[in-house]
Amino acid sequence: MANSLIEQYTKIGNNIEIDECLDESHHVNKWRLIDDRRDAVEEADKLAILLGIGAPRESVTGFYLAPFAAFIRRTSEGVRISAIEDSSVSNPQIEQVIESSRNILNLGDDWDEEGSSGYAVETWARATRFIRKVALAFKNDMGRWVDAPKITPGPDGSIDVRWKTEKRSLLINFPADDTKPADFFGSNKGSDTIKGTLDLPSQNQWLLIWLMR
Amino acid sequence: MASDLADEMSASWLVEQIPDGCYLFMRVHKNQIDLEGEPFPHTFKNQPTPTDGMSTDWDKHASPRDSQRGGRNPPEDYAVIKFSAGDVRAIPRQSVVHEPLPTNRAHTEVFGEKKSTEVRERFMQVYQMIVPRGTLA
Repeated sequence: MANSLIEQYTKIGNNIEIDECLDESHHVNKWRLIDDRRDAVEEADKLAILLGIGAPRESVTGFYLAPFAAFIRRTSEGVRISAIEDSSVSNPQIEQVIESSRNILNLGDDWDEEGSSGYAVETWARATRFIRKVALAFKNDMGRWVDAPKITPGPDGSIDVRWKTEKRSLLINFPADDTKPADFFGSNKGSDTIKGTLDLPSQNQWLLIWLMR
Repeated sequence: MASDLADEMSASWLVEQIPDGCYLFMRVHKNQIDLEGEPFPHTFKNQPTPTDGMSTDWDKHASPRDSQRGGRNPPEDYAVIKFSAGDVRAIPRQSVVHEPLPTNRAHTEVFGEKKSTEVRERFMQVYQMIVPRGTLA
């Protein structure tokens, strides 16, 4: 059990120091999901209390939700991250697609020999965070996971996320400039269309509910 | 005969009106095709040239084979898709203009901005794959 937790920590990303393994009494059912609409510090404090370390003296920031529940502690030794992967809030197919899409970050400027620019990790992270969040919200509402979308390089350093079913398709674009809103267009190839901009912190699973109709 | 051929090569082709029911072929480089053989939405973009259009070939004067062989790279590096002129004209802000080149009578430009999410998604909905990546027409 301890070994599997360590393996899960490594999935958080590169160059992150692995914290000591939480003991088995802190199994995932005791963790609450962190809602990233709420104050991260407030969530981190609650998580720290749950873990029994009391009100932290060091500065603490919370972490976002699926597929990890975690907190980050800044200590005199540096930043330490503790996390547990909760399989009930992540979908393996979606996680695989997200992982594969990291290749987009390797594309440099003019990768298509037609003047397209490269891609920043922040843009990709914004897109993939949205995918996890909206897929989980859909699952919580509808009782099943949606199929994984396709994640592809978009214009001007943006990231495209596209879902397609037999009847409908939905394209969402995440601009490189995070001051600009993500926007979407969906259609059944007929008169049933949706389009607009997204408020990323809001509940947006209605997009997937529309798609799956 | 040699002079006839020379005259043909240097003559300007007449610009024609393309009916809605005609098809346009477009080369897609293999790097813009995903693992399931589908083009990226970003495939539909204008060239970074002063004319700023998306190059295609009118099926009246070209075959998929012609299109596949018309790029800078070997033909096996390209897939070929098609879409009807009418479907393209139905996409917001897009126009189809026959612009023959001395070496390519079929050459046609699709003008109009292609960075918006709606335009790119509408192209994704109307294209058809006719020469998949890795095959030759």
